Amino acid sequence: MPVVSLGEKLRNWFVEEEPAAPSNPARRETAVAADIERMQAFERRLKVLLTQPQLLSAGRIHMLNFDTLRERLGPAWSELRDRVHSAADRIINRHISDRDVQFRSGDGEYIIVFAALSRSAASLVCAKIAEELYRLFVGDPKLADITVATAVGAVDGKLLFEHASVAELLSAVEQTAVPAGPTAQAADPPAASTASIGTSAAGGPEEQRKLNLSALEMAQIGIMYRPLWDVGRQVISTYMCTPVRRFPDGTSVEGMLALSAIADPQQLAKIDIDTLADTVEILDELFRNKFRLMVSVPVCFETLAARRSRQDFLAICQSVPDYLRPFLIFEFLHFPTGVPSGRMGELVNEVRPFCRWTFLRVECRQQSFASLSGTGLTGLTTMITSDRSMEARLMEDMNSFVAAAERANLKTCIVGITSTSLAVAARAAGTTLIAGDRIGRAEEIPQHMLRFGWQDLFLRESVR
Amino acid sequence: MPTVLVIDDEDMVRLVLRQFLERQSMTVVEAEDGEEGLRLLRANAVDLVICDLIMPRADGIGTIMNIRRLMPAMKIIAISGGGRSHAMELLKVAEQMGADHVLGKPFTRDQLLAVVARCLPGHPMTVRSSARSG
Repeated sequence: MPVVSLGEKLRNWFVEEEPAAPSNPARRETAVAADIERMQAFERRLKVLLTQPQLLSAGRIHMLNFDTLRERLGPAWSELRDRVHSAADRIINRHISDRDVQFRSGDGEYIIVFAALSRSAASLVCAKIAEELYRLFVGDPKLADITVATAVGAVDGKLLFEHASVAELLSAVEQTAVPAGPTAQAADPPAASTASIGTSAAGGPEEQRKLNLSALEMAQIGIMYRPLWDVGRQVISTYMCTPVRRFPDGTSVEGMLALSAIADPQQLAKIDIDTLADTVEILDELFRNKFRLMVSVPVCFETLAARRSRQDFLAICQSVPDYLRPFLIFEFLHFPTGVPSGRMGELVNEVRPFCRWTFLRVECRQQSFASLSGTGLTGLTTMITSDRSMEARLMEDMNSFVAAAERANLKTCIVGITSTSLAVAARAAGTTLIAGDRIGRAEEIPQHMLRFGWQDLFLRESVR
Repeated sequence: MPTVLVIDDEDMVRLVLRQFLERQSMTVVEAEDGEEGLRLLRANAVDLVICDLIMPRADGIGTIMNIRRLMPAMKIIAISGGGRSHAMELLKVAEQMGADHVLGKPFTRDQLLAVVARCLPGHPMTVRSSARSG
């Protein structure tokens, strides 16, 4: 376990940061005095920051060292150094929150202090940063060569760092990972982390910077209901809840994008719980007015993985009247790809008594669902995004996706169908449920079941 | 010499159909999607359309409906399949929407030619066996 002197580290920072000396001696003296004052204030601030016991014990201070990158770049390092630092600043700032702090502590060395993440989540963020930087400059990174150092203690002003390679971190995650987020320690040990290297869990762009939303921002998020076409039965029988975030400028985003800025599992759980409660209320009202329809309600992994939010969610489930349960479907979102089937089965079983079906949202290009067979899941949902030039590839993807799901005895639902040709291809592939603008746009309130055949689809197109 | 418009996004399918049909003294015009098919239909004196159903950008069923609207008397054969589990269901839809005959992939040369012969009764064909068709 290498020991790094805090004083030495700070001296190095100021050697690095010191600007070129002014030529005028009087101005140089003033500049030096200002630098010393700045250095002392900086040093005080850093000492306080870096030696806070709670930060150290929580594993929130990390050091990123790019020695291996420097070695691999060889003589090119001196030419590329500025670009590496500039890229590192950009990548780090993209991955950390406003409350986190990052400092360049040497040539190719950074300290990052995380305000809230757990040690494992923070290590993974650092690993992700390092992976991106290495990929940018040396192509395919060797994960075993990239190390992340976590400060584990301070003795006589010296920080003690424990080093682990990205490969080791990933291996640890596979065994006992904790989801990224401020309340990660409160969660039950899930199967895999939501922060990952090289792969991303289904349901949202990994690259997008995630934050905790203010109450005002949370109020921008609402729920709409998108019709699902049961192609086999030729009926629109189900409406899926889809989150919508409306921005003050009048624009809005729908689906997973609406949630992609939220990292706090408690906020996700609140949205899940509110959505379920509101939906049950609407469904009950519609049911009393003789409307018959099914509603698919999303629930995030974060909500079910943490004991407290799971209990809150299940409490709402238990309040669902018996007569509505056959009309309720749960769709699991944000589930990491490596969740063991036993764990998945447990989570399915938790909500199964309160609903008709359970679906899991996955990536369309995922090709094997054998591990999900026997977990109690009814089916898989996938989201496709397409412009017309991508349709040929998407058709092949849908074909493979449905075939893989059928091998695991799972139904399929494809969301994001924007054209008749995609609807035809989705059905030809064998999918049972289809949603997207071509079928119908999201509405404020779900509607009655509706007979809807191919003729309706094509005739509707022809009158447009 | 009859002209056949083949609309299919798969190059190999178009190539094979071209070979089958040209050997029967037919002229073949090819399109790789429904939009191009409609354009070629307007530009050529076509006697028969063979149209795949599952194509990017403009699917076959919509294309068949458009052809039927533009040229009510046009003979149309819908083809589909290619490993898709519900292709036969879509062939039924295509029939309802205006296809005269349907053929599920894979089909043999003689099955194709038998259906083509029914659409072009005045044209002599070399067909060895009957085809399954709608």
